[in-house]
Amino acid sequence: MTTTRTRESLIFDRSVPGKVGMDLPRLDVPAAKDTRPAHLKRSGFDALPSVSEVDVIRHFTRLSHGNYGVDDGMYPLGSCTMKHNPRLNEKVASLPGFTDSHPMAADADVQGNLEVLYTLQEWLKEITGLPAVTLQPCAGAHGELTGVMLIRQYHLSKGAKRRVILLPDSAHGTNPATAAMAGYEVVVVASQADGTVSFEDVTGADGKVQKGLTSLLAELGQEVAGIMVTNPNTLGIFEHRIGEIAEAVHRVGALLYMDGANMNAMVGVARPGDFGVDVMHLNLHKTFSTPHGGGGPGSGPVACGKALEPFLPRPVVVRETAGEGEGRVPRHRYRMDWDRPESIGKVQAFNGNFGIVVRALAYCLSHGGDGLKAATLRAIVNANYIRKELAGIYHLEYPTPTLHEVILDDSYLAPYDVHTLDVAKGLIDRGFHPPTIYFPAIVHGALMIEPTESESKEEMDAFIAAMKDIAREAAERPEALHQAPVRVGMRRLDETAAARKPVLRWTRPQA
Amino acid sequence: MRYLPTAPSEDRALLDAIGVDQAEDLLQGIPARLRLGRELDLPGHQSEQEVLQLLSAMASRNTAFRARFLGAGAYDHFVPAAVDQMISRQEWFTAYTPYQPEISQGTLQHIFEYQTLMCDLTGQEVGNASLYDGGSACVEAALMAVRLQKKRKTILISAGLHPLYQECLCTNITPHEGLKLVQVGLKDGVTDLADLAAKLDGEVAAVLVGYPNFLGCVEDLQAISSAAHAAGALAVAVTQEALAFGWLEAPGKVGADMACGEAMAFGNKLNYGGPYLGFLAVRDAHKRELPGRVVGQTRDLDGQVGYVLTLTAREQHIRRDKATSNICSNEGLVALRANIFLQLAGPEGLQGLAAQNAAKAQYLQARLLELPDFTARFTAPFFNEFVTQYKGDVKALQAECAKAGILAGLDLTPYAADLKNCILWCATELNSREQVEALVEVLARVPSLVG
Amino acid sequence: MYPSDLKYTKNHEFIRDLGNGTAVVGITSYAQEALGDVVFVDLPEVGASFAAGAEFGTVESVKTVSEIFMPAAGEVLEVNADLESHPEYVNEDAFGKGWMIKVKLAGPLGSDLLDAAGYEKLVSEESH
Repeated sequence: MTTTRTRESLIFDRSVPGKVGMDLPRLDVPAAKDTRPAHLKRSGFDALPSVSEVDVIRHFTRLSHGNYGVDDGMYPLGSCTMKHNPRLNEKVASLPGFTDSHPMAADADVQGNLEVLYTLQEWLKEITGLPAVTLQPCAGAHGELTGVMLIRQYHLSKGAKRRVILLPDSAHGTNPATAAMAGYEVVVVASQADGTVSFEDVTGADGKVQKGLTSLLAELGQEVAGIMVTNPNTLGIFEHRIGEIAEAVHRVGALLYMDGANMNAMVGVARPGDFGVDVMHLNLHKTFSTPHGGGGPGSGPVACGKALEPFLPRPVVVRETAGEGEGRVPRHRYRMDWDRPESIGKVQAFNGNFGIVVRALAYCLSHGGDGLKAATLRAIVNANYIRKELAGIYHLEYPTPTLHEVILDDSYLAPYDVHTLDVAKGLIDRGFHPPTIYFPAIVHGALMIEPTESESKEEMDAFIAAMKDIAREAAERPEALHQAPVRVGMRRLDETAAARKPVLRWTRPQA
Repeated sequence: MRYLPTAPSEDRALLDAIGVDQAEDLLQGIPARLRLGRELDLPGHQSEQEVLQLLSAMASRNTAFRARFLGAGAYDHFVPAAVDQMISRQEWFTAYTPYQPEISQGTLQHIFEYQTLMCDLTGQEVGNASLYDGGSACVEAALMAVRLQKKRKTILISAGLHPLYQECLCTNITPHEGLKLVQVGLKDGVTDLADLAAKLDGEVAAVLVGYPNFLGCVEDLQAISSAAHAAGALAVAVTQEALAFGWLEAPGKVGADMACGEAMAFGNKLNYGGPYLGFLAVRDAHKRELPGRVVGQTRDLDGQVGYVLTLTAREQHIRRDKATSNICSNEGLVALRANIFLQLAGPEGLQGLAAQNAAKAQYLQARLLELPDFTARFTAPFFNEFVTQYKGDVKALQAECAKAGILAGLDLTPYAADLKNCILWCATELNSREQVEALVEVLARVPSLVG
Repeated sequence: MYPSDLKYTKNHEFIRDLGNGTAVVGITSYAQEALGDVVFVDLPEVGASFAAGAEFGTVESVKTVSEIFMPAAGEVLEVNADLESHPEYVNEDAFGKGWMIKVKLAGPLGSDLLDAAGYEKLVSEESH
């Protein structure tokens, strides 16, 4: 992005009747007979603008200047894994063979697509240690919902109707929202100060006792359908007792769901299927480098154990006997299996975000098993480097080993009345995208920094220098940070006014 | 490894700064007994050239049709070069959700414009930044209607809704105790108004109807909305081919309280079904129950107009188990494609394209009906999709077409007993007259079963 | 510091007994301070009845949503319509024009409610 911009107006202000941005092809068939009932004829548009292609290109180019992207520099959002988006992935996703394929074409006509889906599934099985995968969910939250519905179907198939999902209060908001969408009641399990699930009851500073896993399972027993655990948790800390959590919930016949948003700390190093996880989701737009797109499209594959496989959304890609192929590569035949009587049905109309799956496959093939593990290790090294350089300048909330992300907070800056929000805005003025702020809520003033493996020492040193500069400025001139940002063409915005008097679309000014 | 900034000197400098010998020393956060004690059993890393070759080979194993006449929720439309070019700017496609508004004004303003356009197309007052696809949009609309209607627990869905959307609804509504999905039958390809009246009771929260429906038929949305309102239910229009908004009146102007569906038609290729673009637009009075992200206009400290995510208290990161939805990442970049496309098209382009689609479909139908084995299955007006009854075996017909490089319409046989050997055809601006003639020529060669 | 004619709950609601079997309910000045700028208040319909301690609505700020609970059992007689277009009244004058609902009390006020001194003590303990 560029830091100086003149304000780009709304496209509607540029509309001039008569301008066109698209020329239509010559109609080579007779014009349509108008068969529309009179009251269902399009009467026109109030906002759709009349502008030229030049207007549109200039508009979106200038608007883009107002965005900071991953190619601009470090984007250390914790738990978002903003790693480099390889350009090869964009190229392969645009291959006409893929882009021109119709989702309802016969299997025989989309063998390439089925091979893409099948291949990525096989990679994800090896990475997660779980034997079954679906690529149909379109985002992490979508994957969570799918996974929790698998759990529900599993219990129903056993004639049980369990009503509760357990989760720690450090969980990402999508977890309880998902449980509610799947018809479950959410019961919060106490967490330790480091956000890990507590087996014991925990007494808070206010004297209130929060129940731990042991008492909740003893009390609720067979009412518990499952527990949703993020691992590493939302503070970047590994749930070291996850094996015991699995055993404890399995003993009451419940299942362990793992939120795989932080998988970037584990690929090639640890596999959820190996430590008792029954079902989990992955975020291809985090761990597997597919671009964030300003809010999607993502993809949230779900991996699960054999017990849940029958319930997977349909159709399921299957591979049939290897056929004859050219050279040494065996040619298989692939098929979409719709005959899945116990399937939960569908979560997306077609086959999920196929274009994103292609990108993720390119990422996997490029890295290989060795590269994926190297990426994990480098992600962990990078986060630890930042921790080493900034601990002492910012308060390090947890002395426990850091994996791929580190949580600092603003408590050292409190004497100067400088807070996490000011630190974030100060980073903006120094050319960086801020880390995740104020999440998770159990850490006051959290700054969650995840550099990912893409950052070089040079980039990280620049970020570290900026953070140190902000700490210094907090002591010397806190008012400067309160005013930040001042260098990016937009000051702090009034979110209160936006919520009190919502203006959610442009409307034509009254004459 | 081209994506990792590793180099021996740099690696050493980092590890020394941290104070460890090797990267593996930093894994103590993961108990040793839980670690994978071996390398991943996966192929090793490959060059760009090798990966491109592998994936190109896979892509080439898809049949490259020279003409497509299949719609059914995924429409083959022309994508202007400006769309592909513009979204390839890194500021658009690598950026995250606009949580830091000062450095995300591009994304935020684009979404505000996109929300405006979706409201314009649907005749509604508030739209969100996008949902995953048409199927999940139906689910969100249904759940929203139930939240709004509080005590009403039944959702009526026309049998004319896309069968795969119906399956999504079933999957997602079933987990909610007490909520019921009831199907309303069809008569001559459109919602049976008598059956609708019979099923509209005080328990119905909303009626979902296709506009146009899965069979391509244009439903009388106004009559259906009136019937719904008379029973205290909300009317929801489901549009799986959003280009129809260039031809049909905005659902909000003929009584629909909510408009949802699939907008992949705007600036997207088929992509084997995703990423697509679910949309949902509603009345202002209902905005607090709207799921998904919403962008609002405001001012900054200098009084400059700017944009922010707003009404966030509805969403999962604040409301948690009481959120309107769990949706977080949506289809942001696909909405950008649609926004750019719509702005290039403008009212003339959109209506012109829609008129061309209608013309092509009518021409295709006329030519098909000249063949002895084809008859029109329904009498309702249609946009760019319609159904013919075929006297022969559809599978054989499709195979003949495929041999000639043509992707024929959808075989409706599996979907309903009274649709045996019916075909759902689609024609868009991409189907030339030559393509139609080539299709007709192939079909004329298939042995006729009539006389 | 806090009006002496009001009673308070541990969840920071206040109740003003009007003496004729009705009362006014809202949130305290401390609560609005903690919430930040109030952007929306979701209140029940007139005629709805709630038990003591039941959730009767929510208060939204930009970053949070808080449930509001009944200090006493009652039926809603009136709802402060001004709050729809002026949610900021809760911030400006929580005990006055920021009032939320007027109820017909189902019985006498419970003894678990705090008086002004008791509430002040609660607040000073909570702020540490």
